Amino acid sequence: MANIEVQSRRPLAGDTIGEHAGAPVWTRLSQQFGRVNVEGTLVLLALVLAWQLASLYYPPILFPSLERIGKALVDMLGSATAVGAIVTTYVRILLALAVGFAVATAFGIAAGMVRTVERATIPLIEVMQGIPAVCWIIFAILWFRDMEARTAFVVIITTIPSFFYQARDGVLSISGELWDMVRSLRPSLAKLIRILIVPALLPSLLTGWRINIGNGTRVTIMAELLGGVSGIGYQLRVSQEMFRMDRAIAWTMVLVAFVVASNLALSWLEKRILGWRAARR
Amino acid sequence: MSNAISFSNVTKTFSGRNAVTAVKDLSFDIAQGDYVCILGRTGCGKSTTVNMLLGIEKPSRGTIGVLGLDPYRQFNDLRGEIGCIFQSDRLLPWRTAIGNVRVPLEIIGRAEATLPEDAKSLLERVGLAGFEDAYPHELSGGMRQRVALARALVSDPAVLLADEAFSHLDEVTGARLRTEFRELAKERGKTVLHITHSIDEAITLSDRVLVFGRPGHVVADLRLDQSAGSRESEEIRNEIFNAIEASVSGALAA
Ligand SMILES: Nc1ncnc2c1ncn2[C@@H]1O[C@H](COP(=O)(O)OP(=O)(O)O)[C@@H](O)[C@H]1O
Ligand SMILES: [Mg+2]
Repeated sequence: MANIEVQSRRPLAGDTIGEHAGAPVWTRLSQQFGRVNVEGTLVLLALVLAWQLASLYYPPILFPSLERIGKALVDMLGSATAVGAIVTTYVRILLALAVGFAVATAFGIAAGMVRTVERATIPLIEVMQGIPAVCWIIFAILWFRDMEARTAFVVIITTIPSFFYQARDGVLSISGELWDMVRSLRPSLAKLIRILIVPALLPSLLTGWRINIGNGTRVTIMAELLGGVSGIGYQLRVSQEMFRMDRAIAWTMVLVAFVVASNLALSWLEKRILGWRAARR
Repeated sequence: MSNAISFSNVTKTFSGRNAVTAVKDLSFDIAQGDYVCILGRTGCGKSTTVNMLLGIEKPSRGTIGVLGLDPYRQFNDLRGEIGCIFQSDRLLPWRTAIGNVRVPLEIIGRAEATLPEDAKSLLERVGLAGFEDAYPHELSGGMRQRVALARALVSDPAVLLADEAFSHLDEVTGARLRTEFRELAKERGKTVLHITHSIDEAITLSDRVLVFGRPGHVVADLRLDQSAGSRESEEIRNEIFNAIEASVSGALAA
């Protein structure tokens, strides 16, 4: 990604296209390393270094050293409770996301196709979108005794709006020419959806997942933190109560790793099923 | 011979803030196996006529028949019976050439083995052997329109429609494609309704020319003899030209 940016900026700087003469050394490095974002990596490394420096001067409750964090992470990944917490949280997130996705996409497609459905659903979706996630968490804690129901409810309800809009806008952006072409072949509704709508929608649906894996993770952790007895959010609360910054950091790293890993998985999927799109750029 | 296409007193008005009448009291019949061109200036309701034939627009008044069926009300009964090529190729960008040609078959749910020509041999027939797995963005405009041509033919429809299908291609490509299109249609005994705004195209291709006035109605109906000499062609050309000019002399000539 950095490469694309660098390349689009280069002509503005008056450089010769295809050569890196005059480009800063880090840009040239980044070209050499191919797809590795050298600039970004350097910034992150500097941050880690600063942290390690801070750990020399401050108590571990504020800035635990890298060794300490590493040890906490290793301990954690070796313990059954911790691994159980990780699995619990992510099964929760993914299941709830799948449900939110299915419901919102069905309504989104319908709204994109039928004006009446759109008029009926949009105000509701807008209200849902306007209610902050924390409010939903509080409602969920009051409404449901069951922990699983709480998190599922919160994830579903907070991810529906973006899944819905991605689907509806995707349908609306299908060109009238393609609609007419497929409709002139007289398909059944099911075939219209399978042949035209779903493939045309795939890019937007993937974007929906990109947005909502992050969102879903955030609200699940919050729900577990506020009213949970298991999961990563609960473990974070325990770390806080025991003043274990190293553990809190280790848990955070797990969370970040999950979002990064799922984005990589989505990119891989995108490359595979949307190859026709990448090549067109 | 029975009529493959018939319009009788068809009027189409688009309602909206200011209603537009695109087609008014349109009546004509097309015999099975005929190659008919419709000529007319921009905005005289040619595409609207095609859309009504395709069943994606409903006539406001009058009746339309395709093979004796109402294309709007008997929507499902005409599945696979009408093939259409549009001005742009309208290929699905996420499908390969052969995947695009197969779209009509997937919709009518017919196995390729039961067809006189499968998707692959049709692609070969339109000169795209070896390009089956190419995506639309990997093909030139002319090649994409060839894919669209194969797609229109694949369900072995009785009626073929072409709406300014070759007008945006360069002259050489357009000329080659339209000749091939005529050959393919004639070989297979298709009834063709070909919309164009090029008098030359109409004269080269058709057995009959309908000249449209605005809003859509027939102002001249001429039979052509494809074996006629150049002098007769010249006369026909003038006749068509005058008909088109006369059709707009009353209205605001645009
Ligand atoms: N969907 C529509 N809604 C409103 N007006 C339309 C629509 N389609 C076509 N028209 C109008 O109908 C007239 C005929 O259009 P069209 O059939 O596309 O003409 P042509 O194909 O001969 O150029 C034009 O004035 C056009 O603006
Ligand atoms: Mg038109």
